[in-house]
Amino acid sequence: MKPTRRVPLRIVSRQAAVEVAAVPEIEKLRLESLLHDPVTGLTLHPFADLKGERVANLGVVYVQLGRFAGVESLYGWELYDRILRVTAASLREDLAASPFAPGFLSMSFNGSDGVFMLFDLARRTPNRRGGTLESEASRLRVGVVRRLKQALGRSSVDLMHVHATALAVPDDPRVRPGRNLMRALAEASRLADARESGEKKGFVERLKAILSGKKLRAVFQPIVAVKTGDVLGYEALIRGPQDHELEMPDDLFAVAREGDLLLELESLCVETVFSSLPRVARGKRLFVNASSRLLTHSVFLDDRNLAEMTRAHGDVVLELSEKEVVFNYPAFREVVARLRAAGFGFAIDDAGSGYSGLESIVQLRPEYVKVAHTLVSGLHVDRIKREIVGSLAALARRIDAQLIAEGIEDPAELASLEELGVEWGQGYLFGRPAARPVVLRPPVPRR
Amino acid sequence: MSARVFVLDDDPAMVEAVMAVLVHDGFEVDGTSDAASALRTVLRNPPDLVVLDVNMPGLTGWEICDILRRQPATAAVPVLFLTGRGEVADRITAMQVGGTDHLTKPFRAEELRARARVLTGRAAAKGVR
Repeated sequence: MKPTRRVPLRIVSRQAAVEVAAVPEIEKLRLESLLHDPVTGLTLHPFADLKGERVANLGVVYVQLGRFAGVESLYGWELYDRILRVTAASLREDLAASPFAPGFLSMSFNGSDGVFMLFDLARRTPNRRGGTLESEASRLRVGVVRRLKQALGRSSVDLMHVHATALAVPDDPRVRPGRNLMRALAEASRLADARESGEKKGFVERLKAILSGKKLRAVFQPIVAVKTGDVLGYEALIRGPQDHELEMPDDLFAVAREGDLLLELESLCVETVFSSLPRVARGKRLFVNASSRLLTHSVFLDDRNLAEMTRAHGDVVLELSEKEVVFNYPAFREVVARLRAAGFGFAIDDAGSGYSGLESIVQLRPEYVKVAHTLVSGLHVDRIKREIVGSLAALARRIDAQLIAEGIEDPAELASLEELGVEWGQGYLFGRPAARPVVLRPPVPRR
Repeated sequence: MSARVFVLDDDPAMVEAVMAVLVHDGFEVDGTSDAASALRTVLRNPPDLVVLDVNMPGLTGWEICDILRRQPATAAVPVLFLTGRGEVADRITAMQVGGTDHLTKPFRAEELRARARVLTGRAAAKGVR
């Protein structure tokens, strides 16, 4: 009996041997992907390269990208990826020319918004001007800011406040070097946070001045038929004072969020829009951005306020961002019903940005679904984006809504959108936002 | 020379089905339902297209795509996700891990063939340049 039982046992053990031999290879690849950030190409482990050695005089330089109200959720992951790539490349390039380069030990990403660089301070180039580790941190920071501006332009970088801190960490034989280092990294990051919060306070003060002086401006961007160029309406957009650092709406809202001034800012936005309607917007649909916070506020919902708005413009569509849908709350549904009865239409903004499922769109039953510009940008060369827009088009048909694509800049994007059955478009191709907007003729889509 | 496609799905029946659809169109197709062995095969001998399921025990399709993108030999190989997960957020994840295309199950044979043709055509063009 015994010999016959050995046969299957051997087979089992042979299989197991194959598996065991194979595991390290796959596990290594998996570990590698866990330890290295794919975007920056940097390690996520701050002292992986130190190999357990003690460094008598360790220097830490920390460069932190501003965390103003979540820059990534403001601009989207694709732009944030680019920001990180430019930052890492800039640091690599500038480090090569650093007097601290001979003592360079490692550069790691904190996985979110900061890069740590470690140096052996004893090995810095002697007799060279360039000063302290602190001034080196500041030089690296300036390099990052300059390259971000070159690569991405002003407006995207305005809220990317880059901070840099430097710290010397003497070795202490009484403590484990790894823990000593981790405490130093936490301290460097705390210093950067403190610097940032001081800066944020200044911004909030400047926003308060804009609000109390009612210094917002409204601009209007045409929404046109993709096929014929007929104008459907205009989206009202908000600007701060010209050439002010808070000119762009993303910046205004980020600071308002920081200073708990969102409702004040939004109320002034609506007031500004209705008091500066251009002649061309009359008789066309007017798209106005609003948050659920504003719509559910008693001052906004006041009958007199609603009547005033509908008197100023008879065909208003309220745009709600998909990012902050709250349609699951019965109270919000009541508000929507009331606004509909008062004559307002609804649009879902930023659709397909992936924050919520499509369920919320189905529940609100908006007249319009606006495709997020991040999906429109480059969709003619990106199959997954076309796939997402195609499914939004199918959903829109199902609920009798019409699709508006935002941020169209390229005739090739326009041609793709037309193929996908998108009826309406908005973007520089049809006209920029302006106080007195001009509608451009849509170029004939390339076939 | 016909384009080579590698199919990975934890459901062997789905692997068979995809293979049958693509073989019929002149592709040279290999496949498995074991993620680890798929990863080894693809890294050793990169095909012109990888068709990946997402939900699998052990390594998920997203992890595999992420690993492929980090390896020089497979960094540019097109990856088509073929999955029951059709939410917009899932498609965005597919983009974020470096996927090239996304097709939701159940799919039509003709749709799969068309996508595979486009994606391998693109791979061939890249190779020529």
